[in-house]
Amino acid sequence: MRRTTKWTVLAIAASFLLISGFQSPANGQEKEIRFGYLVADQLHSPGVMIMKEKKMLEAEGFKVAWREFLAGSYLMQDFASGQIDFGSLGAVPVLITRGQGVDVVILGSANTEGSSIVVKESIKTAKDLDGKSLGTPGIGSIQDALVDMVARKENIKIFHKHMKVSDMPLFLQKGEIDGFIAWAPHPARAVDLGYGHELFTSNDLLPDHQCCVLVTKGAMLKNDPETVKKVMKVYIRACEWYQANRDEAIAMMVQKTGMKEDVIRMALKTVKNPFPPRCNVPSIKFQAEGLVEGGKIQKDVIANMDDFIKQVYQPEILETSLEKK
Amino acid sequence: MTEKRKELFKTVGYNILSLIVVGILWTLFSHWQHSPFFPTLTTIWKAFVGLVQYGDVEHIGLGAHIWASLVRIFAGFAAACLLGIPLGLALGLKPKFYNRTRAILEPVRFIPPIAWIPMAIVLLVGFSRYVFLIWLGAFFPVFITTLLSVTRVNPVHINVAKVFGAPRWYIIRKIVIPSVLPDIATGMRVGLGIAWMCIVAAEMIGGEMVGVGRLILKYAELIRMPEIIVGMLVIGVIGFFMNEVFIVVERWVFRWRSEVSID
Repeated sequence: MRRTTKWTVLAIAASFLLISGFQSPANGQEKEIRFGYLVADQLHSPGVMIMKEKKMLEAEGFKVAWREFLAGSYLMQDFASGQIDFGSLGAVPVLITRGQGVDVVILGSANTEGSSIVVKESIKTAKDLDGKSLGTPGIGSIQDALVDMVARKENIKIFHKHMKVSDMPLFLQKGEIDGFIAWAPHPARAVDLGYGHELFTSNDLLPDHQCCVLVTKGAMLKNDPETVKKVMKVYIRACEWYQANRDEAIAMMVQKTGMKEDVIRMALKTVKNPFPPRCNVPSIKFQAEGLVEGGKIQKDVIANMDDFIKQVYQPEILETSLEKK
Repeated sequence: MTEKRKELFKTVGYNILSLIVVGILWTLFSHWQHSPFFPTLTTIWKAFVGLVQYGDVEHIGLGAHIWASLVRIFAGFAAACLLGIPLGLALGLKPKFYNRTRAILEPVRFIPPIAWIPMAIVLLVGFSRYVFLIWLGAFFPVFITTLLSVTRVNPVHINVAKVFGAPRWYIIRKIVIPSVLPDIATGMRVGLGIAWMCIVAAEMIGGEMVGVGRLILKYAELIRMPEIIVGMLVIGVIGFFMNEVFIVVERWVFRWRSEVSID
């Protein structure tokens, strides 16, 4: 009986270790960080793509666990559970997550604009979208918010259908949706395949709107600012490299996305990667207000919008890193 | 009060008591955690009321989500039964044919419905995708239970019928089918449970705004746990009631099984 009990206790302990994630200790010389990014988001976050492909963080002594996500909201779910230290994703999921009390902080910008609405040929104007269904990457995305903006502006009803960005061209081709909004290069790919035409770019809808951002944990910023500074410096270097080596970066994008070079070049026309990578604060505030209005961030969570924005966007490390250069 | 009735009261009482205990433990843990990711029962209740009264963030009511999922589940489950039972009977009666086609049927059983999603997106459209994925989940429990139960039919009964010159079709109708019906019902009940498990995977495909699975995913994107838990509870509670109804019907239809008992 006692033997059975002993084995039962051992089995439970082993199961517990397995469930809780039995990880080997990190190499003492390397600082381990977990970096999340979005699938096929190389055009929006070239800095992150370059850091990853050129192993720039590893060269600075980091051991990096790269994690890929289908959309920003999924990245934020892992972030909320403490599984991600740094991430590159849209500002909207970051704002929503901060609105839920998660300690997420924006360090800098990845890109502004960079999304387009592609529709079937019969749709020529915004008014034609009335009663039509558009594919969007999900309720917690900037693209979804942009569709809401068009509907409000034109006083029309647009039905949202949430799906994976890479599936959108197929859904459009099969006639299951009348159009879609997605980040580059998926709209350009659909146009190239002859499935539809571009109705609006995000520049038409909300010029210079903040799109993807670089984030970390507020606690990390407070307790381990040196690591954050080091990562930020590498990120700035990667952004500079992108500005100076566009063709090489485009070749990387072609390889990573599996799309044709002319599609990538066409898609890049809609994306802006301003340098230095400072965020467009009025745009972030505008997006946050839209999220509150749409019920995606609960009203009672935000007492003062300016304070909320100050908590979520903390550019001090970016500015220090730029000064030291 | 009869013994049976006493036992029934006891069963119901203990079930209510276990619900209360879980509720208390949940409340204590949520107060101890004090986190938006482990909401209190009151917060979950408020989220439920909000979803019923005002709908989700896209103003789609909870009823519409439940209805959409129910229709998809019934369609997928019905398709699974319509194909699984006759095929199980046929292959059970012709075991050689089953043994010679196992290499096709058996590997398919181990492919989870979620792995079929990319193919479903390319090959199917709209409603048929949900039906296909739910069918995949529910089909095998129904099919395998039917198939195995046919092979377990008492050979004495079949041999007696044969001795009296009963034709094959008569044996199937009067001996095989009545013998396997209780097992088919059990397989259907397991299949129905799996159909509910498949609904979130099926509704992950996207392209629709309604469905309990879609409701959960919507709020997962907004990281709002109370509404996610409401969606989970809705699936659990509806699944539970459907299972209970199934058991009652099963007991009534196959009451001849319990009419002969030792006690």
